[in-house]
Amino acid sequence: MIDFILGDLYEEYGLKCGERGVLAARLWYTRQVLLSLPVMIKPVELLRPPMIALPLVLLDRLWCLVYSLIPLKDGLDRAPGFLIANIVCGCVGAAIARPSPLNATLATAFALACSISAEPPLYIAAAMIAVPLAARLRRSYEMA
Amino acid sequence: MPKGESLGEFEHLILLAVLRLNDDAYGMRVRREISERTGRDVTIGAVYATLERLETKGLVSAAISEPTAERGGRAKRSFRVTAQGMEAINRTRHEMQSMSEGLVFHA
Repeated sequence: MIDFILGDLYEEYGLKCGERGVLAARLWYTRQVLLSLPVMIKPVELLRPPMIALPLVLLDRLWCLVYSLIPLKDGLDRAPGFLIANIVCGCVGAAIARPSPLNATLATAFALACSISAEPPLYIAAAMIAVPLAARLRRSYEMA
Repeated sequence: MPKGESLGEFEHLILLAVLRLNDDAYGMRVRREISERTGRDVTIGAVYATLERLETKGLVSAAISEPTAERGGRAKRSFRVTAQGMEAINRTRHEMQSMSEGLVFHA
């Protein structure tokens, strides 16, 4: 939707420049963008990434707990394989949750794979990048 | 009639604007049409949010055109009122007429 809104604003800005002058047109444009921000960045979209990342983080913590309970391996760092298992589980979850599973899964997997040794806050950051990206990919796919 | 089927005031205005604009109904034109006719300062975001809601309800349909230079190389999304949308407009108009009937409005 952002592309259409920006296209419309661009077109009307040109008209406003002719009608009221550049300064007034700039003020009008700025006001329109500021007031339209809540629509362009939907609160639901902002809430979605943590909702996907949260089960992943919880699963990761569970794996850490299980791993630390094995006496001989207590105190050792967890193997990256555990995180990969978590990523797979997270992607399956994303695939079930999203209307366009392929894009969401690919983008989420990519971002999470980038943060393979990261701590939970970074998972959330990665998911916050990945999920809007997936949504954008989906829109591009729908438009094509 | 279920609650979700009735039109809000702004939804009604948007549908009428789309109807007036025929094949040229897209966000910017709809916004200008409402601003010029009602004097309201409408934001483009509010117009798109409402159009999207109307599309979800099946009251308008959308088509995407090719990107143009005058829009900074961005595509345009045009809207048309569907048969269901026409039905909703007529129903709302009828409701308003029915409720206003016999009332005297003082300035």
